[in-house]
Amino acid sequence: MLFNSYEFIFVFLPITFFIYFYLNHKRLTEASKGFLVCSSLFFYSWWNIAYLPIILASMVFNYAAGRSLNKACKNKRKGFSKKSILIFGIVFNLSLLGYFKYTDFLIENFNLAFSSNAELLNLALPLAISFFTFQQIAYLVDSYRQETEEYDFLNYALFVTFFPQLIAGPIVHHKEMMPQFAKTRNKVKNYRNIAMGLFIFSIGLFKKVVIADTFAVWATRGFDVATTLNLFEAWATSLSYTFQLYFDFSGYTDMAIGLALLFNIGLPVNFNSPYKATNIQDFWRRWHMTLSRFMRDYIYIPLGGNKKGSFRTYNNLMATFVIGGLWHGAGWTFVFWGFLHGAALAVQKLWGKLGFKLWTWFAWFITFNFVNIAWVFFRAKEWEDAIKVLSSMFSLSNIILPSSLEDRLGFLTGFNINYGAFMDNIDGSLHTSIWFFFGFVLIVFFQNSNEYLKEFSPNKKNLMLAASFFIFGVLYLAKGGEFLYFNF
Amino acid sequence: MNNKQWVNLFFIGLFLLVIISLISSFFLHDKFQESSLRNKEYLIKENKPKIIFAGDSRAERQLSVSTALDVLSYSKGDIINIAISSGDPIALNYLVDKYPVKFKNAVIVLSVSANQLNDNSKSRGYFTNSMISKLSYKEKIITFIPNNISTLLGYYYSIVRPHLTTKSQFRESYGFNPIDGTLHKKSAHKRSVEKNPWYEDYVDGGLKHKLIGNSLSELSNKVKELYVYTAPFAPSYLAAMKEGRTLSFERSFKSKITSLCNKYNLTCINYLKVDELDDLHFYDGAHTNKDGAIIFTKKIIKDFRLIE
Repeated sequence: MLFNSYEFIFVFLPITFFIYFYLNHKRLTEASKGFLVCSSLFFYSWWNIAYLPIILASMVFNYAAGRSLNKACKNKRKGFSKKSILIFGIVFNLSLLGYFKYTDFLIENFNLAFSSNAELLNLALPLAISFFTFQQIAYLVDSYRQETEEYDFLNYALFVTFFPQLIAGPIVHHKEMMPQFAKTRNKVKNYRNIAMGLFIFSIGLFKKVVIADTFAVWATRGFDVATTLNLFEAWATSLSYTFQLYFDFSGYTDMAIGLALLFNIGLPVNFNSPYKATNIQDFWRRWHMTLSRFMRDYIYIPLGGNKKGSFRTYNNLMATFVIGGLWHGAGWTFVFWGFLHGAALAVQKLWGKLGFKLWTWFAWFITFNFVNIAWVFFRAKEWEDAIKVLSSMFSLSNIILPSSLEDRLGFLTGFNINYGAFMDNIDGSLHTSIWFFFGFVLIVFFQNSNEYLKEFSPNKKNLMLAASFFIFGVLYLAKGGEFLYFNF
Repeated sequence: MNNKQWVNLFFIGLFLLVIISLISSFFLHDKFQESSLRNKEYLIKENKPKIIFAGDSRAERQLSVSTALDVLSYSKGDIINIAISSGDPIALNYLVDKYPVKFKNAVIVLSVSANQLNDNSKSRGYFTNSMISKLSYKEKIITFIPNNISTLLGYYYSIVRPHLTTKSQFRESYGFNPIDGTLHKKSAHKRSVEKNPWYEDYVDGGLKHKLIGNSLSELSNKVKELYVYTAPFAPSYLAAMKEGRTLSFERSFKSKITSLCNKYNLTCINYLKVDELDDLHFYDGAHTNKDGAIIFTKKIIKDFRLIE
């Protein structure tokens, strides 16, 4: 089920909300948790019930592994060592993820390398497998580090399946969720949280269905449909995807945070105006923050982080980001995207060591453009698509200005500049430029939704804002469209 | 305002949204009326017309009521012109439903133009408000967002804006709205012709075709006779069309309209060029001026055999 669907907003959510709090009101707290787990599994199964056994099996296994780890920590001499349990648990999770997500990728590369003809398995990727796998690996590692307390299976199931964060994060820690589910005060309707939840949900809905889905039209045309692009169309294509991805994923996260707040659960902030970043490290502190946290705590630091000299630091950075790229998708373009970010971080560290400094605006300009260009590889389905967009972005031989300017700027034809339908190949027009301006203003000059949420007060202005965002969002719902991060 | 009040007000707003949506879906959907057509509604109310000229600007500006009255020796009020800019069969259909008896006794001469079948002709005025009124929410959004949002906003504005009836405007002409002037040479250049929004990324046979087809089918049962025509072009404009792609689009449009008329047993005449009309009889490539209107009105009466 999509957050941006009529069935979710007008049927699933109200029913789940009222029954959950009704059961709590009747002091049936276990039943209310059970109901929330069932609702979340129903929400998950809405796409395809065939995925349900996979998430259930994964939950049962990880819960058992977590308990074994807790026991092994307490009874150090009995049974398997906690390290072997952890390794077994991680191997199981990565195998599950690897089987569904990377088998065909490996077969393709095997075929390519050895000129063989092994058949692809064409497995359907179970929804959210990357997210719930990472979340549970984090749980196992936290259990190994004795940072988790024991809870029964129902609580654990709620931690994994809680529908606001089930499909595309934020990737949460056991220790930051479980106490919230246990808190008695959180079992009572809280109008403050409901108001804040509705407010940020409405912002998220607007971001997704109005802004992201608008940019999606041009990005899709540019990457997937157009066979040739001129200079403006190529930049419009890459910028459209850059804006689409941000508004799509941050919109999703806002909606997830808002939905969790309705149930008195606080989810961690996942975006902090990433396109305001003035260097790549800053970008990764602001973009998909819970994934960055995961990569730092469970990949980069275990690899040695920056404690083993410069060379190892650079290697660790590269490895972390290449793995991050591969986590997003089974393809060389994703690997290359991760490599680019890893390399950029290494360069930034080296640059910092040399003591160079840039003007803030220039640093922002370079960072934004680097991120924008790197997203081309992230978005392109094939290398050829990425090359098509990038080569046109930097080619001055194919510039087409709107024909309305021909009367005034006709002399430019001498400089190999032509006139015609503006952004025709991506179904754009002069309106497209207005959307870009609007997008830039939003990402650079506006506060992000979390900052608005912190300052939230139940006044008329916020009511009008939330209502407008919600109404526009609902009107645009008809356009449909999945969240991009559902694919990862 | 406390949190509880805030939440309650939010939900009251939501409730109102649902009510407004229901109203627009169930009420406006069937009652929509082009605002400029309201200006001519009194012509229907106050007369008992035998012939009604209807359709878009090409009928409004080139079918002269006084010429038709002279040729047919009818009395004033027997012929009226309720064609409007951006008028189409759907807009006419709404009015027919309002005055069924008057239309049942009248012969309708209806003009249609290529934008009415071109699904990619979406800018304001070229995707008519009455067509938009027939679309579902989903179709509206898919069709107009993001590039043509102003068309959609224009439609909503046309519903809510205050309307002043100006009866006096057409008192003498019975709805005929002639334009003086002659064709400017520049407008018949190939580039200007190619830019005509009627033919923008021309695609027919889709959504608009379905809407127009449905309304022609409905109209055919509600009026005495329905004659459909596609209007001619100025010779120099037509020559420019031949140089580019627009002539093929116009031909495709005419062929689709003919098929629709055949399907519903309607008489249809496609004019591309009328020998009696030269550039001096047009004020732009597709609209005759006052003099051209007199010639063209006589031709229409003759070709459709309106003389009893």
